[in-house]
Amino acid sequence: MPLIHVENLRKEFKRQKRKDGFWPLMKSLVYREYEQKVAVEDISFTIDQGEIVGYIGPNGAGKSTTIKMMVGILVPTSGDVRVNGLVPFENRIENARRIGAVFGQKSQLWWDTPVIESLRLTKYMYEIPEDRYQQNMALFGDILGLDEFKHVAVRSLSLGQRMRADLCAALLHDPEIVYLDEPTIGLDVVVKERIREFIREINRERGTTVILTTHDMSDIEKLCSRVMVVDHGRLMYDGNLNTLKNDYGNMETMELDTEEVFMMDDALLRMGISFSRTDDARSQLVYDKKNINSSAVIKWIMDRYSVRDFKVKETEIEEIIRNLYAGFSQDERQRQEVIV
Amino acid sequence: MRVALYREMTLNAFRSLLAFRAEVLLFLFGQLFRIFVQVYIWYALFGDSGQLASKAGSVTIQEMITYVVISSVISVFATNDVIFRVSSKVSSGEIAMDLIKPMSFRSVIFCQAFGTNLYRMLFELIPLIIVSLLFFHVQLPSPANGLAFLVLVINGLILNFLITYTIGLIAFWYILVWQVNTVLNGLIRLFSGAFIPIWFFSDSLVKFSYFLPFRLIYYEPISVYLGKVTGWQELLAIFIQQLAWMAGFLLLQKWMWSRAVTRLVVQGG
Repeated sequence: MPLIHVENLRKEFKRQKRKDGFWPLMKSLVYREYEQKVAVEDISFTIDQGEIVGYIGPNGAGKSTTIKMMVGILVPTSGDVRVNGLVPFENRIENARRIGAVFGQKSQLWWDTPVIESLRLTKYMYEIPEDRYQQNMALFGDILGLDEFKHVAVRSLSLGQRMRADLCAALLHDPEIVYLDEPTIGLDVVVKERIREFIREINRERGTTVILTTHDMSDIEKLCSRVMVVDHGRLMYDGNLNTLKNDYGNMETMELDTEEVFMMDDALLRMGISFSRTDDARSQLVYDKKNINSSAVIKWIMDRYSVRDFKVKETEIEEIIRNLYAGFSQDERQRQEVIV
Repeated sequence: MRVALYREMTLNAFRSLLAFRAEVLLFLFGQLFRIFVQVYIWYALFGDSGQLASKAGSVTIQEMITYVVISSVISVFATNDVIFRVSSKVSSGEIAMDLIKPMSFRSVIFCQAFGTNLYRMLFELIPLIIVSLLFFHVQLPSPANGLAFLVLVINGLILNFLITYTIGLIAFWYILVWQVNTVLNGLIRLFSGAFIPIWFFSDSLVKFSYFLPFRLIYYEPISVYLGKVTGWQELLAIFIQQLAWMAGFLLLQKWMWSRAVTRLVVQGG
């Protein structure tokens, strides 16, 4: 049986319509107009124990709303969420005992007291046995580097320090599932790497299930075996990261620096290669990996030019997701045309 | 019971406040000024006579001064920021961070309010009592009255918490908390007897005050302290009224909470 079971999940928000101008404003004092906004529309998936799932999509796609329903903070408009057999919003406290959550934009730590006080409080909150607490503090403190600031008041921490402390607080009680809503937002590369290592470690050692939303694609590439892509409240892709890359990320870019001025050739065009020049006068060739491979391209070029330097870049995952959106909206359009 | 958790939450709230010591000093001075002003107003009103007739029989100036001091002592605990705390958590979306914890929101708020109370007990109540004992002749109650007073005050404070918490929950529907708070403070100031004992009220005002819970927080416990309430039936009546109001507000906040949760929109992020 899967650990998390989500079926036909939907969440609507009522939002007051606001209009500009004096009379509409006066009118709104007496009569308020509301509009429905659908944040999550018919999402279904299951997650097994021990998975690390990346939940990605643009801003306002419905990622956080879905997570908040899984955590039990928001009540779904319709559909079913079951975590560990429990309906989270009906059993919020029971569910809260078994999960950990970090919302990157907010902190669960006590603002005016030293970090260690907030961490100590979790011991009482979740009734963590003393030896387990010490053990976890030692391990987490080590990976996250908490020692340097654990006696500092939370309000004077840097963002990276606060995030590490928040992660520690969310995981001290060995939760079965941990929800991380943009845990690396606004952090520098070193801290990001530290946090990723921590998540990997927890997942490997404890078998903790991790659900992660992020805008940083390297988070996904380094952590997740499975990705779910959501847009406009709908699940657009759910599966293996490599499959996503192969299906939507088949374009490759080659950057060239040649002795002679590189000239575009009909032969290249016939191979399906497009050409552009970068700002620093290098040449850029873009081609489909499925039709032609990089060694064939470079061979063709080296036969004709002397190459000083070249670089081959795979499609970045942002690009892949852009392609996915483009493909999706095309499908939509075709479907609508059929209906018309 | 999760006594350890509540203890630690309360202590954390207490520690948080240690960061703001200047605030407390200012508040303490405000309280002292208020006591002095009230005491001298009563001196002026009593004039040379030393006692005034009232609904509770004649009242001496000593009793009145004691009333003012005890009322200030209660207000140290009864003035809480529960309404603002709840509403700011709702409007900022910070409430999400409380809801991911295995603890009821009410308990979180209660511990935070209680921690604040502990803090003010140390840094406001004790100085207040010392100054009052030095400058004014405060009467002490008989042991029985003192004990009854203590029970009624604690009940009154719990009732006070429940009232403010329930009103704070309005923030889920309207962001009018400032205004509601002002109205509430006015009502409490008048009908609790915090400033003017109800025994000086006109008949219609007295009747009206019986429909409100506020006099159970200040006026009735202080009357007991001063020995103005005699007989255990009367004491029991006050006690039962307190319990009834507490039960009422407990039910009300429970009902409001169950409605509030379904309409919660977590702002930002």
